[in-house]
Amino acid sequence: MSNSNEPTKRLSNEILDSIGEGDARLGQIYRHAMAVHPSLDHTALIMKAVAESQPPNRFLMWVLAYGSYIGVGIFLICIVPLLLFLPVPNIHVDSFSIATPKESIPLWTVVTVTILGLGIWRMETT
Amino acid sequence: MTDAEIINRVLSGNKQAFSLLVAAYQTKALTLARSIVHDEHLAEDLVQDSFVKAFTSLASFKGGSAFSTWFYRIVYTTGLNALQKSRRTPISVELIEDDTPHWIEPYIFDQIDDHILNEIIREEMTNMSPTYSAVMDLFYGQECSYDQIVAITGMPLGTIKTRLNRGRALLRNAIVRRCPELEIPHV
Repeated sequence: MSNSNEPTKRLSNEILDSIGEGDARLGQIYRHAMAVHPSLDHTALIMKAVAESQPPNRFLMWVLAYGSYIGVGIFLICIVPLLLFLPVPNIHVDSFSIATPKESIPLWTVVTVTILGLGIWRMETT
Repeated sequence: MTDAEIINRVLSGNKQAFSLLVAAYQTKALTLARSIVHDEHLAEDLVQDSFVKAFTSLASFKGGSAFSTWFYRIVYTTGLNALQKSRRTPISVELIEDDTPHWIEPYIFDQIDDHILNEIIREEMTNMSPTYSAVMDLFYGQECSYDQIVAITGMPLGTIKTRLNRGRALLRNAIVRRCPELEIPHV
């Protein structure tokens, strides 16, 4: 049973056909009416402006997109060795030295390679 | 050559390949820009700015949508910004609630000479608020789908349909006003 309260919401097939055909013809006329004259070719002018602008740079865009992660990464890189290897100064000792023990080299390598690898992977997959 | 191949060439350092995109999209971009700013010279500047923006940020184009959709969004936002700067006031968005569907019936096209129709459409589009004319151009001029228009303008689908409906009503009214001899059948 049809809902008599919604006569205006339901459009007959005839009206839908009229809308469809009217839309198609409006589109044709519109594109013809608003067409740009072929003589208006500004390719050379636009390319001149393009040539003067900064070229697209994947690395720069990547840095801009992931700057916050890079910042956190650098922070961690700095803080981890400090926490792990910085000798706590003995209050009774007059002097101390900061030296990265040879044993830490594999750890440094793992951290560096992981961060670089993640960066390259993100850059290539985006 | 596809847009994606051209973009890869540009990103590989071949700046000149970008001219292929310029040649392919400049006329469509110009009609869209004209529909927003209603000024030929401003529209040309706007298209140039849009291409420069597209070029410098080409690396951020991820290919999730068609290049045309991505580029038209740049033209659209650049156009709105230019319009707001020139007017120094926000563009008013008048919301006219109207559920009645409006369209231009095929018999109207049968009765009017194409030259007159072209003239009426050109005039009416120039006078129409950018609120409606930009969406009209994307739909009828660029032949974008509703989804593409949503992606380009960032407007909800319902708003786009309302603006298209209103734009069609404005065009139809203009045609009927300019052609009083039109025979409109009574339904």
